[in-house]
Amino acid sequence: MTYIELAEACGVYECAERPKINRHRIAHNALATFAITLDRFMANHKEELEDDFWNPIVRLLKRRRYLMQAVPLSFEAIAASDSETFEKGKASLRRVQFVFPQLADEAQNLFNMCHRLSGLNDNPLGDLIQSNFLESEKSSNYSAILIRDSRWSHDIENSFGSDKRFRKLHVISPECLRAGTCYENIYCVGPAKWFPDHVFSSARSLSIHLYCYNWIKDRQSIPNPFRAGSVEVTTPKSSWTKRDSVISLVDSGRADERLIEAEDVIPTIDIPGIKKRIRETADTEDFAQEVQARLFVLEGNALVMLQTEGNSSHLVIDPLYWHDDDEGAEATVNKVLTSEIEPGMFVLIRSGGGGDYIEPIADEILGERAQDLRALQQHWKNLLKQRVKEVGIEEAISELKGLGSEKANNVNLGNWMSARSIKTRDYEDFEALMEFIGISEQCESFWIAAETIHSAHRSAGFSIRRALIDKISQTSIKDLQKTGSAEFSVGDSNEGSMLVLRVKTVVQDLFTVPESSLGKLLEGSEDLWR
Amino acid sequence: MANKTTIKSDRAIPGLLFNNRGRWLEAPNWIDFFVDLGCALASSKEFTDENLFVAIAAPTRAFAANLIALGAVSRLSQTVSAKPSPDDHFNRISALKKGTVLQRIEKQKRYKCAFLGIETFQGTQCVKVAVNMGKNKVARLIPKNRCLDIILNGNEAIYEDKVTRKRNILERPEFTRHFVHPVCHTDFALEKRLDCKIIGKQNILKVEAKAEVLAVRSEDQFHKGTLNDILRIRELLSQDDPYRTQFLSSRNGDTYSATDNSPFLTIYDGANAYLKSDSANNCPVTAVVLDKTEPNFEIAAQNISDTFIKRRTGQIKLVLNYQAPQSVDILGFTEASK
Repeated sequence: MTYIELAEACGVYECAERPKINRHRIAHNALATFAITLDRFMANHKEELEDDFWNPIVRLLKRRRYLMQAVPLSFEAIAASDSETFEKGKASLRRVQFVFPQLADEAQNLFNMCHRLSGLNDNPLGDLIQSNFLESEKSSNYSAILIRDSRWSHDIENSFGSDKRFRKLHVISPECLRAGTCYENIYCVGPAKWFPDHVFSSARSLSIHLYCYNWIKDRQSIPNPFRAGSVEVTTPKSSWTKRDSVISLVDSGRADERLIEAEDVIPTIDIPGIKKRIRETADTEDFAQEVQARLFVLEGNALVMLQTEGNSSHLVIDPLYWHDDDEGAEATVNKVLTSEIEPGMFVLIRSGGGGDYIEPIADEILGERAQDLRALQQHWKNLLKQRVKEVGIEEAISELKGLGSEKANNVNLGNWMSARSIKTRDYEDFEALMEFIGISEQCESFWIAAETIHSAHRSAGFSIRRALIDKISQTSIKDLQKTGSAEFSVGDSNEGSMLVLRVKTVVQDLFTVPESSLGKLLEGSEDLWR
Repeated sequence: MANKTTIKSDRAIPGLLFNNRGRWLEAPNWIDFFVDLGCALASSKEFTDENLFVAIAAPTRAFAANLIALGAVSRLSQTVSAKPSPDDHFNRISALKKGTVLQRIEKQKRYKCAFLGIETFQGTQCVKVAVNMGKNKVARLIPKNRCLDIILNGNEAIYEDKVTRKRNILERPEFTRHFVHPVCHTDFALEKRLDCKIIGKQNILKVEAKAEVLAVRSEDQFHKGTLNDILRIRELLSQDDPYRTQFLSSRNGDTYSATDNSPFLTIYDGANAYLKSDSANNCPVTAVVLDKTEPNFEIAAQNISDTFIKRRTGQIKLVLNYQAPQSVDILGFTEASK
């Protein structure tokens, strides 16, 4: 939700009133054959394909099929930016004849088709968009190509921009259509089902062109948002009107009879694969503190787990956050409860090296003392973990309470053992912990060390926040909206670099994950899609 | 089969203009529609004793909640909560600064006059005003029992102790009068009464309310104004100023202060405001403005459809003076008051 001026709102209502939505059906024999053959292959061998062996192959084939139908670039250009997936798929294919000999020929055939297509310079989507754009060129000429996957926006802009006639074309994501900007034409790449309803029901253009291959089964209309119906609204001057809010999508070409569901073309997250990987990580860590987390699907198919327990929060940029002093152009970093993070917001994820991004900066603040202080911290945490392991959590809590800790409970004890927490809030709890692990005589020195680290972390947090806000203010929110991601570095070290990625989906299932896997991208996120 | 109640807007507000990047143009249909919808919702008690729930899905939420509130506050200004007694009115006038411009009704016509103070004449307390007689000013005494003939001009009615303070309500009586029934102008200017609360993102709602984007035409002139001139938003006024509307934050899950009277109309501005709402809300009228582009729009629309199925006691028809925009979807029903 952002501030839209009254004049802009008038433009929005004008566009949304009666948008002309024209679906262009595109034919391409080789791609059609590949797309449909793959669809049948997956339908016929559903059970076999559930085996993890198939992941790299299915991922490659599905991904290529999707990109060729979703990105208005030549097939060759798409393949060139996706070579890693190709190599992984190719490597697995070599083993098919040993693992699944009965499927080897079909798989090889599909792979060959994909390979042949990947060598073609064909760009059916791009060619038609360009031709339509030139036909409808008008004086104001403020038009946009709408793509589902904004990772490709720079490549598309560069490709179209190489011809000066198309330099005025913007490349946008559906999120850009939440603002008040309206366009002369919107060239929407892919079937309507791939896009949120508001692209059509709250159109930001009087003219929307949908580009969809003719073997894809797409929706025919956008229904009334209120399933329960609608109210009759009439005026005394006009006759009774039953409002019909269903928006029709008109096909300009013929749809093929061999249809594939639009949703089936989109790669999906491999939830069991993710759970399996989490389990593997947890098994390799001693004393891993496990917490409840939610999975966020980010721009570029990246995945991240964020803690949901209690009042867990995370740094985000809400592009719709707006304050009186800005003009809607600058992003603002805010800490938001994990439960309130929603699609369209950008989450800040630490990157580069994996350590907590605050820690290196805090260590710089601590200077020469850093190593000793960290060692002290590590020492009592290790003792605590060891002792809890020996006596069990319930007994540990009971003992701590007996030693005067008022806040000893499951969650707090977990936090005190965790490397992410520096110290207890109250000295009484800390004193009880020290006594519990048998180093009560050193309690004060450990407390001072923890306080010093804590203070350095706080200063580091402030300095990162300031540095980040400075960086972010140099990037317009418009650019961020367009690309869906950006990387910001804090200081010179890689440890301080952060990724800013748009949340695409929040997976509803809750996961129990080791604390160490929170707040960082799941490694090999690309492999967790099929 | 549920019964159907017709809710009519009985007061169109004509001649609205809006600021289109510096040019004043006739307000487009959608602006008139939302204002008119607010008028209709405010007059719903004339058509049903039950509570009313209306959800609106619009292509943008921008200004919709404030415009609905504008229509509602304007229509509700006709409802005088309690006719002030001559004593109360006399006390209000007594508190004015000498020289304050007032209006006097005589033979159903209004005349300008200036407040000169309070005097006792033949044992009766009177309001002393200066009236124009040709080129001269003549003093008149109006007895206390006839002081209701004196109208406080709303924004001119500034109490002496507040004159020096910076005020958010500017003096725009012509603009205000376009929306507020003349008979009720005094009450509107002086009475603290919560007619409407809007729950949503306060910072955006406030900017909308403070922007000088509307104007009205009277004869050859046109008068600019802000939504706040009519809405009298509590958060934009000084503590003692008479308010009609309150903004509450959706982020904090605020409801409204327990010391306040429950307003007639509650407007949820946006899906999040509605989804975080207190289901115990028992306002006579609830309106939910949903922006179709919001991330949680579909969840909120689904939730509202479920509410419709569970809670409706009857369906409604809206008879408005302005046609609903094609891009706006509306669901509404009556429900039992809690």
